[in-house]
Amino acid sequence: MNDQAILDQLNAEAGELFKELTIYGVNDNARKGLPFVIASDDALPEIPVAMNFSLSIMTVAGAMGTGGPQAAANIDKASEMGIENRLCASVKMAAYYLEAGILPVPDMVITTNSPCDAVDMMGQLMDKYKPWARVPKFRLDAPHGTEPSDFAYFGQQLRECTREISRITGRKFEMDRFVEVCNESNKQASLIQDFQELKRAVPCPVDPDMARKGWEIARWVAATDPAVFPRATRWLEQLVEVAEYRVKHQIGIEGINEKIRFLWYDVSPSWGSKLFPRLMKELGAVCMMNYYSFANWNPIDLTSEETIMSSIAQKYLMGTPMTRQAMHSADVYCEDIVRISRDFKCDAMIMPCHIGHRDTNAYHKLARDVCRENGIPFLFLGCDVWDERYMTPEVVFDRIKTFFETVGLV
Amino acid sequence: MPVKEPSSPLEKFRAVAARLNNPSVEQHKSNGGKVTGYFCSVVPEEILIAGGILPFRIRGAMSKTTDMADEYFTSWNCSFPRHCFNLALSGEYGFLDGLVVAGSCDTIRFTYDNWRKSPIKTPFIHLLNVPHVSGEAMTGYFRDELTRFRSALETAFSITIKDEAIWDAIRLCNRTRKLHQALYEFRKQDNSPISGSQIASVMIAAGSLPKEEYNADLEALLQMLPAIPVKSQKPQARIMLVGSGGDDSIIADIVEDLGAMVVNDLTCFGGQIKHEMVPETSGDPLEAMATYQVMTKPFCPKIGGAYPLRRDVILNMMREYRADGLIGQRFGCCDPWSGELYTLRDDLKAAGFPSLILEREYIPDSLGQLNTRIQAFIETIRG
Repeated sequence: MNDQAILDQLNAEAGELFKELTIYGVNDNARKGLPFVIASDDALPEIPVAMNFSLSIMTVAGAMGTGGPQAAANIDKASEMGIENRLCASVKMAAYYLEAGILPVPDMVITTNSPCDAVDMMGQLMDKYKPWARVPKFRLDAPHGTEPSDFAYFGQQLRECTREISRITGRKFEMDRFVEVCNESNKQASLIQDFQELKRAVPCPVDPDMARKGWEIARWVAATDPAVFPRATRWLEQLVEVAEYRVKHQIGIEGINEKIRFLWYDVSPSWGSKLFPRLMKELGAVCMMNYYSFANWNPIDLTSEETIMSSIAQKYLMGTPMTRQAMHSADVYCEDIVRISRDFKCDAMIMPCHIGHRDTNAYHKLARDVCRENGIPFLFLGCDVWDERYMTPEVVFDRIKTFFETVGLV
Repeated sequence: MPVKEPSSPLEKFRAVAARLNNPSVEQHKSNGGKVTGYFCSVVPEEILIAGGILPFRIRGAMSKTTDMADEYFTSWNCSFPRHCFNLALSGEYGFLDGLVVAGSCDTIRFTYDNWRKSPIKTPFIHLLNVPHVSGEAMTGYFRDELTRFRSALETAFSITIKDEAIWDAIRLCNRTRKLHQALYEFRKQDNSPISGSQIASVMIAAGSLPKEEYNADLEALLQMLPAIPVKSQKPQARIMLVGSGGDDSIIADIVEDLGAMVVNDLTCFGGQIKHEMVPETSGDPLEAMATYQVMTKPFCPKIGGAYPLRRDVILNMMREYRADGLIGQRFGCCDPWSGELYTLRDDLKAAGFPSLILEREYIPDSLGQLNTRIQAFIETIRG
């Protein structure tokens, strides 16, 4: 098997597909001829894929923009507009896109309070945006609880949302098609779980960040372009095949002498390409997991319409990165640290404590305590995962290197 | 050292607002009563009162630092809950038998986890999940949450909270709301016998005293006010306040020291708690309170879908109270109020009302800067 060539091709394909998530991609999506919906937060691909409409996510476009040209200037423009300066930069960027009028007018807007106040605020700005006053809006209330009644509550809202989408876009909600898509979604989840299991091997067979890419293709890109949905399955199948091959032959990441495995307990930064490859090459330090490469999905229960909606709700509330970490109790947050560190043999935990994440800023002591109790070396950074001006990748590298040296990993 | 008894209801309210524990709370506890603190006005005091529990609204009064709380939070979290939590860590909330945290905004919700995992020994701690959309389905969800809350209280305190007791508490709290509305009426006139700063103290004290006692004192105050001599001087400007926090009178003090007048407010500790009544019907009191919080009084900017109602209420209040302008305050890192005030500013402008948006920390870094900005605003808008 020409495994590295396959990985290179998967990476290239991911790079191409991610263009759909940028502000340019959002504008292109509006011109594709499908009904065009904008959501404030991460949205379930099952609904747009089954109903065949395009759904773009504002905060994702904002996040993608923070790694793009003129990022700093655009982030600063949001602050100049009067938006809270200490807001997450991805939301600032999204707010700038909205208020600067460079987004296409959607057919419908879907907002929610998850995963955090900042995205909630973004959604409310979209609700109130005057040029979109005539655009129908639907607002989902994501509960903070984790009981079956909470999943049922959210599931009922999702069903109501599909009725509204039908009414506004003319797209029918057909249960047979929806079950078919959910089946495919379960298959994708299973593949990502398989890859996650294969990552446990020492050395790690493939850059673990590939899980994040697969996840983003299956969820975000597929939501913008339903035709990508089956392509995401094939992408994941190939990724798992390569990982299986490498585990069988005890092959690690190409060119990397794995010495350290660590958990990056936040989203992967937009400037990550300036950090993680260097950590791997110079220190043999492999980032085993971040929020987006952590697969924690329950299967969609296809027994009935009610169970489908409840289990999709559960998948959204408990499996969507950032929603899982920020919407529920600190117990969920801390238990994941221990589980990931143990299951993936992490030597250390790095907490970026992104300045826009109120949750990590509020939970850093609890995280430190749980690491101490479990013998996991812990580093607190306090960086900005979107705006590298706050703490440059070089400074972050130096801090991580010093930390590894201090705890005897280097 | 014996505490000097206040000579008037207003003096009592100011004393209560300036501290946390107070003689009335101590008396309640020495009579065997329980006290439960709560974050956010969305927590229904009525259920606590119906269970014989004294509700005590968590505030940051007397806090000077967040040194201890900053071990849990960073400066990228709102300073109001940090100050409150710091007081708790330093033992100032040791008189609480329970704590209810509404899952309103993120940092308040995170305070729940930090509090329960800290060395603070509050026996009963409960997270009340709150919907973030104003709608009928959400009312049903919140009603279920209130049912769960009632059960948790009954178990924790070995009490039974009956529907009729809740209805009695609703009537009691509605009386408070009526009295508050009567109090604010005095601010319609230019020469008011009570200042905005004093009203702030009265409203803050509402969350720190037993309701029957508070209502009696407020009724006495309302009877005294018409007889108080007033200045004949017209204020420089009539200002309405909105925004986060409000358990202090910092902005009101500055405004009134500059010769202007705070005529009304829709702050978390102030005007929000007096808006409308819980309908006194029969049937399910939890349903009535859920509807009140989710549909009638959705003033927290975290409640989506209700901005038009909030905006219209503010505009109506400004017209009714002849406000010349609005000051919106928010604490740093408060994302909900950031978005709310950003949009409100434009809507106020379209309606012909100037506004000033202030960002501050709970303990302001510089009163001088606030003073300068407010002074400039008043000079701009005064007739």
